[in-house]
Amino acid sequence: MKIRNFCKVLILLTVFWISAGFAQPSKILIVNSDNSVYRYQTIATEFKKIIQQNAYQVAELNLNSHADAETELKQLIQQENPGLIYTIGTKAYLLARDYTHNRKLLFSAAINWRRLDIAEGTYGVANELASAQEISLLRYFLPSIKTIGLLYSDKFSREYVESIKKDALSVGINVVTKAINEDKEIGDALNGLLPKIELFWIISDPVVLSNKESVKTIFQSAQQQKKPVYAYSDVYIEQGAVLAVSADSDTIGRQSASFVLMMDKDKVSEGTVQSPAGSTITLNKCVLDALRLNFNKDALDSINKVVGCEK
Amino acid sequence: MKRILSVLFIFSVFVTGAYRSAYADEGPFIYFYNPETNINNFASLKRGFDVYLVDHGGYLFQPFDIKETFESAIQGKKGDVYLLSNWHLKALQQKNIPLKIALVGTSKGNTMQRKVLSAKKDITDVSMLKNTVVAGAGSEEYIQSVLKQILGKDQEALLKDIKILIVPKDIDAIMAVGFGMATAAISAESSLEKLAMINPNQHRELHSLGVSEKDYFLIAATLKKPDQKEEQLLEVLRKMPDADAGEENLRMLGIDGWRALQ
Amino acid sequence: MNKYVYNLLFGVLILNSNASAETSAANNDLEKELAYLAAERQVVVTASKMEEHVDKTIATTTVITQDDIAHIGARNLLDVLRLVPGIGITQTQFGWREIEVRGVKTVLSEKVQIMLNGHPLDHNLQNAGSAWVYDDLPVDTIKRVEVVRGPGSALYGANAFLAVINIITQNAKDLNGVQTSAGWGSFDTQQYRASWGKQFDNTAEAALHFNFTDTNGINSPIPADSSSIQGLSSSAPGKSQLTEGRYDLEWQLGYQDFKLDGRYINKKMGTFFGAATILSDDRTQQDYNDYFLRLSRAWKIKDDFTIDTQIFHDFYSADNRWQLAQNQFTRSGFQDMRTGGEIQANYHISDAQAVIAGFSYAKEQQGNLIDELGPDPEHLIPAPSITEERTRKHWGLYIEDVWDPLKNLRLTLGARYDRYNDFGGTFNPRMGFNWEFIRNYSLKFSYGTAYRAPAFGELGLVNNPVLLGNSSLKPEEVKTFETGIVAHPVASLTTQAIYYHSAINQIISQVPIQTAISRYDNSGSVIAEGVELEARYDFEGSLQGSYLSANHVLQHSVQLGQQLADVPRHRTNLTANLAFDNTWSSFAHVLIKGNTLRSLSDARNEVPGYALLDVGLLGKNMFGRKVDISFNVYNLFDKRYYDPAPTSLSFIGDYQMPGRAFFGHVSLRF
Repeated sequence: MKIRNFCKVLILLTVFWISAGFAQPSKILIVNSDNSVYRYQTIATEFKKIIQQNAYQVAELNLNSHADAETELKQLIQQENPGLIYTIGTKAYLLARDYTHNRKLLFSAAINWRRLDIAEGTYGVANELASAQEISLLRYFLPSIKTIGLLYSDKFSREYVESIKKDALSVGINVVTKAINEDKEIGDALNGLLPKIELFWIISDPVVLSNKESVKTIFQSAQQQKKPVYAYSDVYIEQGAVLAVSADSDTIGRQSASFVLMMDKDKVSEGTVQSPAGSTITLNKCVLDALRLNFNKDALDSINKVVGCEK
Repeated sequence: MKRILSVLFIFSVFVTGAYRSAYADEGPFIYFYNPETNINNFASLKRGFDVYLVDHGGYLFQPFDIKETFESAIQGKKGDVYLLSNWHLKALQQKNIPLKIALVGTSKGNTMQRKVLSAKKDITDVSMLKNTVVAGAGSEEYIQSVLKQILGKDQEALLKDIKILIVPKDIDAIMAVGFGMATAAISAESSLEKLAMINPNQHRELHSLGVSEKDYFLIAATLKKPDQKEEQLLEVLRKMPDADAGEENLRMLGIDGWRALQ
Repeated sequence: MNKYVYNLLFGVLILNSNASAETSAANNDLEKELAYLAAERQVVVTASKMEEHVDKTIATTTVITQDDIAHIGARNLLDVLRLVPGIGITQTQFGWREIEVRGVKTVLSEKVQIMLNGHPLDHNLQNAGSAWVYDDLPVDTIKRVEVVRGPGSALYGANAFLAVINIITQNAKDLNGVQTSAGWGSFDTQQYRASWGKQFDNTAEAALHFNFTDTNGINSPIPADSSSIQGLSSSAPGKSQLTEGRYDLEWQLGYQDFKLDGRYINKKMGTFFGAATILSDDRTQQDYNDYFLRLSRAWKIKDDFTIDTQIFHDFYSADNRWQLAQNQFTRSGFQDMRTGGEIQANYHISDAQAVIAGFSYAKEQQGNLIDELGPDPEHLIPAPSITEERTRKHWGLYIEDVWDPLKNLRLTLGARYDRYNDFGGTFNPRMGFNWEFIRNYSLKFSYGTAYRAPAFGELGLVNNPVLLGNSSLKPEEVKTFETGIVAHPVASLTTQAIYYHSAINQIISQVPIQTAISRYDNSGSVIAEGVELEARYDFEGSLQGSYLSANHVLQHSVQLGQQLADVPRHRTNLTANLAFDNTWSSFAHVLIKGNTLRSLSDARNEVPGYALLDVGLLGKNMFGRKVDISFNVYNLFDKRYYDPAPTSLSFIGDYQMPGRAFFGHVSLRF
């Protein structure tokens, strides 16, 4: 076999490849981890709204309604031949990434995406706000806080916590962290952590926030030790968090749709994962007053919701 | 059958409640619609205003987050006060709805603000915004109109190639540029000043690609020349900054006082 | 008015809101958020980041999935392997099949490493190779087969010389219940399988597989044997005696980070026409027992640093009775054991770089030798042993770095050093890159070396009047470089073109030292090069499930300036699968094999090339997704074709392969 013959074969193949062209179907397959989950549902609705306005066809698969979701997904991909697969939630992403066959994949609502194995041709909108954004806002609203603490699990949040620590350090805030493996460890972990910190930060860690009991333990311990709680979602305001800066689910859906439009114009570099662009900031004035925290009054008009003591 | 009956029951409760409330002998109302403001928890807003207004003349506050619903409320009623943006007011006037400005909101002594189109410094010209995402808070229609004004006639054609990303707040829009989720942002000048405090590094990275004409922060308008009843309500509004609770409510709307137009 | 009322409805809903409604809404919101977190918690990333996508690896890899196997209607592993580019399957006189890889073929297929779920199966220490009991492995329990062509010693050590065939079987999660299947076909073939798998709440999981296969084997005409051509009494002309019965039992048990797995095989088989070229009957019997037991544990030190440890025990025994002449029989047997352990550290330096490093140790022992001789196969008497009891110890140290310095560039660099107490050390590196130079077009290049360890039978053959062992043998070596392009020009189309060049040196061969006496020695070298072209197109839309695939191989293997005998110069596989709907699909496969060359000293004509057509019909997921049925016809046109008999057996003629054959298969899931 001469190398010349090999080159001839390669040239022939190349001609074939180029002549085959690059067809780009404009159908999008939405794979939803579980559309009974409110957040997933919200994201899907906003995404569809914008994507359909821009004349895309949409096919949907809800993993929760199929016993053999893997087969369904495979069949749907073959049937619909989507140009892009949009996944909502980690479960949907992990399943879909094996069947993309060189289609583009855009994920959203996956907790701490950095823990996932991100394949080629994959794009994403993160679930968490950029840690630098969270830290900046926290410092703006509560300027006197210098030491914050958080609990997390290595399995789900290690990378996110590392970026929090780094970003906090750059603005002079010290972050004390404690990793736990299961929700049973929360009580002891809090007892060790709370005395060392000025504010406790709840991040979206599925091990720390396993159930209502865990949430209750966090707020009871924080209250006993008179430590304010800062949370990633406004659902914790009612439980007693003083401030919540949450990623806005509607915006995640819209942002994902914009992302798709830009991808089709080749304006997004491969592998881009964006932080959520929209935040909702909620202040619990009742807790703020009770704890006599130093709150920046100029920041009041940046707050989306102010919750008072009246019930 | 049980299910049908229960649905009918719930429906009837809703309709009755709606009808009763609509015709209750309460009010007058202050109606509010402004997507440019940061507040989106209308329950808190309503609660804050109602507590204040009931003590100052038994008025009620009604915020809307759907434009069409707000506009229907204006068309159907007279004698109330409407809080809205000047941009929206002009649009309504073009639809022959005879709204008149009674008061304009102030912030730190100013009644007007400009909207700024800002981007990172590597975007040197608006033409570079073709096929990019521009973030802004408000309705898509509003952002489009501000953008159109900033781009001017020469660059108006760019609009169709710009994707608008609607975010909840001005500060989200500017931070979206800083964190790479959008190429440019439409925001109020004051929001840019706020970014300088929140994240000075990001603020340093941004520059302005253009500004809109100055416009009022927020407007209190009436459908006709205010009569005595409406004047009383406007007076209550005007005096809100004098009380702490009143000022806090206004801050939630992004202003700190009112001024009558000369 | 109505419009107004409805328009105001929204406002009223806010107006009517009260504190208790807000509290319950907040609780409801918390529940929604916890439900979201619970949904996210269910998913743990199990896939090792070291797993590489086929497109990204530097190695030339073909993956055959369970779905593909179902379409092929495969009766055993050989039916699967013969579709892989660069691999050919041929018959041996002893009964088992040869696996030809990239133009190189030997009777024992010892240059190919077969693995089951990552565990090497070259348990036969006397004669090397894994094909003895694994060539015709049942396929019903297989999830996928990965065939990596090219040298693999840098990772896997000995005998990953020309290719590594890794068979991955269904685990507890894949089974999730009971699965049974049965197949019946020509040559009185019957196969039965039962599997059970379950994952328990306490992280325990179990999968059990049982297979039984029985066949009379192909009845190839044997026109002559070494007795008949001498005019001695003989069973020839007659038919081959390729009967076979085998039991396979596999287990995979897991609890927390521990896993205990293994497989036991008992295989009893006849022969094609025997070790001494004598056509025999059921008095020639090969009896193999093979098992391995592996206990492994994964240790997670940190998320980016894990350690895999394992200890294993492999066992292989042969107890074979061969007919040597009309009234002469021999019985030979032995037991081989390999016991050892391995520790492998996996460190993800960053998202773009991972390093694995490991150490392995094994002790190999051969004993319980059986050597008997006599005219009556039922009453044989002990004879001097032709091999020795033997012990070997070896250890290996390896490291591999997979690094993506750019998003479209992967570099792989690895090396392994193995040290044996009998023949010394060997060092084998592997390096290469995969560069996606245009989106969907990747250029691959790799260079690597591999070795095959001398087998006990080659080192210590004794009491054999015509062939001597050689205790100073060195391992066979191969140096391979390959380059090629993998491309996806349009969605659903995968194409690949690979050029390879292998230089095999220190080949362990039988070298004449005196008239009629040979000895094993490191002698001779082979240069093998060729081009492998592959394409597969999966249809979408109304034809979903359908695919077309083709592979074509041009190969040229040279020894002492002459092309190697008994291998074809080209081979083509064309496959079409047409799915009528989600249930029914039909399959067609054409194998086109070029003429097979003879050696220079062989005056016979080349073995003529041939084209075979196989077709099949598959019904999947019937009766509530519980039943699959398939029916396949092999060699539909009943083409008469032959596998080459080596030059040394030229007097017998080539081996006639089976004509039209049928196979039906039913599988049930509960």
